[in-house]
Amino acid sequence: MSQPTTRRRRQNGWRTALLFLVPLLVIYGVYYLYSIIFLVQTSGQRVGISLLRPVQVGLHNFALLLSDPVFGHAIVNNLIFAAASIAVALTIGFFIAVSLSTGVHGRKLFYLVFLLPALMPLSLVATIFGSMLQERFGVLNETLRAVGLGSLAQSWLTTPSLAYGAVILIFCYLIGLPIMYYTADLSALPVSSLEAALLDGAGTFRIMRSIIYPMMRSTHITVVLSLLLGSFRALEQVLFSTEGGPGTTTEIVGTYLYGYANSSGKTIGFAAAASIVVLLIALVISLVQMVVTRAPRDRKA
Amino acid sequence: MKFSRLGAVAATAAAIALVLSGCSGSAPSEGSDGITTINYWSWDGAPGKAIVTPIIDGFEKANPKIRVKYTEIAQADFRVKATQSLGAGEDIDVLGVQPGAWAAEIQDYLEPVSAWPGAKSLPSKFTTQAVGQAKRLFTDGKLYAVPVYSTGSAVGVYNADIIDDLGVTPPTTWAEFKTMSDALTAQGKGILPMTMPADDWFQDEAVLTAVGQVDPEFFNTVRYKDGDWNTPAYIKGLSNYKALYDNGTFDTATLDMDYATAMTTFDSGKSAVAFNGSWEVGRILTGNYGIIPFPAEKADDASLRASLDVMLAIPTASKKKAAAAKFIEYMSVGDGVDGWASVLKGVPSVDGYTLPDGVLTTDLQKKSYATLIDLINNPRGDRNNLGAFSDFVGANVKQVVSGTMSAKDAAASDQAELEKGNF
Repeated sequence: MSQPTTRRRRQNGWRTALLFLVPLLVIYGVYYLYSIIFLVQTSGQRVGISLLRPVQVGLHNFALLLSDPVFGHAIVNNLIFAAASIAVALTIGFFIAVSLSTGVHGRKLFYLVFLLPALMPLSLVATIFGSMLQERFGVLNETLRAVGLGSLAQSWLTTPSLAYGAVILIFCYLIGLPIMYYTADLSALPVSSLEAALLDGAGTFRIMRSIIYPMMRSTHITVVLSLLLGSFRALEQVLFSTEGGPGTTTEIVGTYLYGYANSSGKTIGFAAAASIVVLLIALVISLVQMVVTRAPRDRKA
Repeated sequence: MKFSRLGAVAATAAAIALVLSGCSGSAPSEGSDGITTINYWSWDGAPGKAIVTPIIDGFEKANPKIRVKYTEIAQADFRVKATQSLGAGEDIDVLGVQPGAWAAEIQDYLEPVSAWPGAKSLPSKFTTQAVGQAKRLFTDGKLYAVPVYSTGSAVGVYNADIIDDLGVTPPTTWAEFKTMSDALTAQGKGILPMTMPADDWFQDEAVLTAVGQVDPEFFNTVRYKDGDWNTPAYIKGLSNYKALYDNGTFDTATLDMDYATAMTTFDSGKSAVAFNGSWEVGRILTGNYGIIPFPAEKADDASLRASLDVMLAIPTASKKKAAAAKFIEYMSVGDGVDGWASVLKGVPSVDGYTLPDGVLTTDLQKKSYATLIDLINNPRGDRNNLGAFSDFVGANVKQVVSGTMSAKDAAASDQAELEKGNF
C-alpha cells in the first residue's frame, strides 16, 4: 500500500472518530467548559438569580469568602465527615465484604441489606434519620421512653455534639458502595497466596489482616478518594437532617452553597466564587488520585 | 479501528439532533379556532392548584375565547425556575411574583402595569397601602405587578377543644401563655403548648414579631433606611423570645421540628397552638380552631409583620397581554377573589372587600377573622425578608434559645453579616 493512501485512510479514520466524539464533546462543552467559564465570570460579579444588571466587583467575593469563618468551618466539616466514613469503610466495610465473599448463607440478602441505603435517594435517607431523631416525637426517643430509658432521650438534632454525631452516622450509613468496591476486587485476588497462608496454618483474621488487606491497596485508595470527593459533592445528607445546624455546627460546603444560590438577594456571584474554591479543592484531590493510582511502570517512565 | 460510512452518518445525525434539540419554537398567540391560551405560572400555596382550578373554570366560562393553562412549581424552587424560564424566553403570560428581593430581581422581564392593555383603571381598585407596598418592591417605584393578597407572620392558630378542656382563655400575653403551658403539664396528656417551624427563616420571623412588640419601626428601618440590626430593641426582643423557652412557656423540644412536622403535630391534636404565617389560618373553617396573636407582655403590643404575599405580573415577552390582563383582573379584583379569599388564604388587596355570606358561620370563626384583619391591617413592619440573611439570623436565634450564644453576640453577628452586603 502506498504512503499517500495510508495517510488518507488514517485521516479518514480520525475524521470518522471525531464525528462519533462530537456529541460527547458538545455535552462536555455545554455542561462542563461553559459552566466553568460561567462560574469564573460570575464570581467577579455582584448579581442575582436573573443575572441581569451585574456589577463587577473583582475579587471582592473571594475576599468575603476567605474571610468567612463559616466557609472554612464547612470545609473542615467536609473533611471530618469524609474521614469518618473512610475509617468505617476501611474497617467495617472491608470486614463485611471479606466475610460475605467467603460464601456465608444468605449472602445475597446481606448484600442487599448493606447496598440498599446507598441506592435509596439520599434525601429520603436523611429525612427519615432527621424524623427518627426528633426530640419529642422521634422514634428513637419515644422508644427509649417506652422501655423506661427516658433519661437517655436527648435533643439529638439541636445539641451541637449530638447533631454532629448524627450527621457522621448518616455519612457512615452509606457503606454499601465501599463494600461493592471491595467485593468486586476480592474476586480478582490471586488464590495461591491465600492457599499458601492456609497451608502455613494462618487463621482467618490473620489472613484478612496480613494477606488480603495489603493486597487490596489500590481498592483502599479508590475508596478513600471516592469518599473524599463524594463528601465535597454531598448536600442532601445534611440539608434534610440538620440543615447545617444547630447554628452552623454541621454546615458543609454543599449546604453553604445551596443557601446562597437559593437566596433572593444578589448572592449568585458569591455562590459562584465558593463553587470555584470547592472545584479547586476537588481538582487537587483528583490530581492526587491520578498520581497515586498511576501504574508503577508509568511512574518509572 | 475502522468506521463504516453508515456509522459516520449516524454520528453526524446525532450531533445535529443534539444541537437542534436545544431550540424550541414559540407558541402561536391564537389558535385556529380563535381561542387564546394563556400560560399561568405560580408556586404551590399561592393560592394553590386546588383553589385555582375552579377559579380558572369560572374565568373560562365567563371568557369562552380564553383558556388558562396553569403550571404550579414547588415554592422552594419557584424563584430559580421562574427566573431561568423568563431568561430563556419561556411562554409565560401570567406570572405569580413573590414579594421581596426577587421582585426587583426580575423587574426587567416584566411589563409595567401602566402598559397592560385594557387595565388602565386596575391599580385604582386596590387599597392605597397595597399599591404602595407593591411599588416599594421595585427599584424605580413603578408598578410591575398588581397585589393580590397580604399575609402576616407570626400568628397563632389554637385548638379550641384543647383550650376549652383546660378551662383557660386563649392566650395573648406571656402570662396567659404560661398559665396554659402549666395547665397542659399538669394535665399530663403530653400535649405541647405550641409548635412552630424550627426552620431558620421562620425563627427569624418569630423573633422579628417579638422585636416589633418592642420597636414597631425596627424592621422597616433596617429594610428601607439602611438601619442597624444590632440595636437594643432587637437584643431585647430576642431576649424576650429566649425567656419564653427558659421559663417553660414554650417547649425547647419543638426546636427540631421542621415546617411539615410542626403543622402535622398541631393537626393531630398534639399541640395547643401552632404559630406560623397567616396563610395557615384557613384551618379555622374546617375545625374548631381560633386565631391568636404571638404573645406579648401586654395585649396591646400583640402584633405581627405583614405585607403582600402574592402578586401577579405579565412578562414583557408575552404575546397575549390583553388576555393575561383580563385574567389577572379576574383573579385580583374580580369574581375570582371570592374563590381564594373564602378559604382565608390571605387578606385581599382589593379595596372594600368583604367575605361573602356563609364563609364564617360560627362566632369563633367571626371573632378569629376579625383578629386576623386587625393584625394585618396594623402591622409592625413589612414582611419583606432578606433571603439568605433571614436564614443566617434564624440559625443564630436557635443558638441563643439553646444557650450556646448570647442575644448580644447574635445581634453583633447578624450586623456583621448584614454589613457584608451580600443580600
